[in-house]
Amino acid sequence: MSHLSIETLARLIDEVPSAEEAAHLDRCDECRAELEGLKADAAAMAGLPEIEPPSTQWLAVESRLAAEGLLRPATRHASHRWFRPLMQAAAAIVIFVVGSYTGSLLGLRAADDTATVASAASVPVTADAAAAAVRAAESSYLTALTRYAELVQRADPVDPLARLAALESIVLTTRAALGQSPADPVINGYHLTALAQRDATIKRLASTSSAGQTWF
Amino acid sequence: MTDLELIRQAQDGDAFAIRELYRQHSGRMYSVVRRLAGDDALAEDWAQEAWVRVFRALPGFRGESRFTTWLHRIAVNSALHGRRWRERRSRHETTMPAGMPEGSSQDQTVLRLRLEKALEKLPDRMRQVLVLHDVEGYTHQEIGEFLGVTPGTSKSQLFKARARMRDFLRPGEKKSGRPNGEEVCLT
Repeated sequence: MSHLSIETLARLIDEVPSAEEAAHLDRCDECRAELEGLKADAAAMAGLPEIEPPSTQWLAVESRLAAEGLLRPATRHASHRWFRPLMQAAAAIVIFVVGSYTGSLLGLRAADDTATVASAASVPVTADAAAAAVRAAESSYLTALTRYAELVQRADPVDPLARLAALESIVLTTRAALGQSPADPVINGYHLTALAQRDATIKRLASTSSAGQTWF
Repeated sequence: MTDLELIRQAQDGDAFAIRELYRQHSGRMYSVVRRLAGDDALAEDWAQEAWVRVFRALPGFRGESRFTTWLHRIAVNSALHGRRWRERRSRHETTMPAGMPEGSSQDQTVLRLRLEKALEKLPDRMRQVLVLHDVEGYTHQEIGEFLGVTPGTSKSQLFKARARMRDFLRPGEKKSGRPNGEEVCLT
């Protein structure tokens, strides 16, 4: 018995089969199974989740918008005034912790550590300066963290798929949290860290794949 | 702040409102662009370009359609008509997707990785039609307008794309052994 072509079955996901096609499907287990498989694929496609953009994308967009003069300084909303001292404090903490962490991680000398801590002492005095400092600190932190992850994973291999699944879960959680508190520096920090680690894990999986090993 | 207020402030160039709009919609925007591109580097370029186009065009947004619909169309058009399509495609290398699905279990992650990977293997036009129809929910009429083809061509490409995906998703990527054409073989 000849079977329905695969493209015919693909069409039957959306369209009603003709009498002939329906009769064939009634008596052909193989074609029915293939159609069910195609339907399952289509359902899985429809359920694909959003893909989070790379953590660096906003910085690139922001710099282009600024270059075109499409951005003006954020409006200061009365409800956000309380946030300024928090932002400044967060910036100071992040700069201090990241500076120390980055220095120790990359094996910098004590003199460099001193310089980093000294720079942390110059606390930004405006919210914009604090935000810029946080962004700069984020960038250093993510670079250091990615390097750290590479070194750790080299010494103590972990299952990259399990790690990816866990990181995805964290990204979704922090993203939902940011929906409620978009400017919170701590949640932003966790979110960026999880995103960067997720990207690094994906790159690691990709390099494994290109080296001829399977990644799923 | 309501969406409308946010849009109004962003139309005036307010940096906070612009960043907030970006934050709210970047996932959806990037998803469609990434899947249409089939390539990380290309997707990053196009998504960036799409966002710049959005904020250039935002002052002209009058609310005649839903903001998300308007945004999405800009993303799709940016992706389909990306200036650097040809030169970047010629240097295309198969890479992992830049982002992954929610990962409540490894099985789900593996399934979605396989789907994303299989999508990347499709020829460009098939992938575009499949993503726009099966993932994004556009009609064949709308896809025809995006791509400059007839709805019938869109349908035909969709069925071919689904058939290819089915083969890609089989264990070991073995072909089904069925006839590939649209002709129906019945006994």
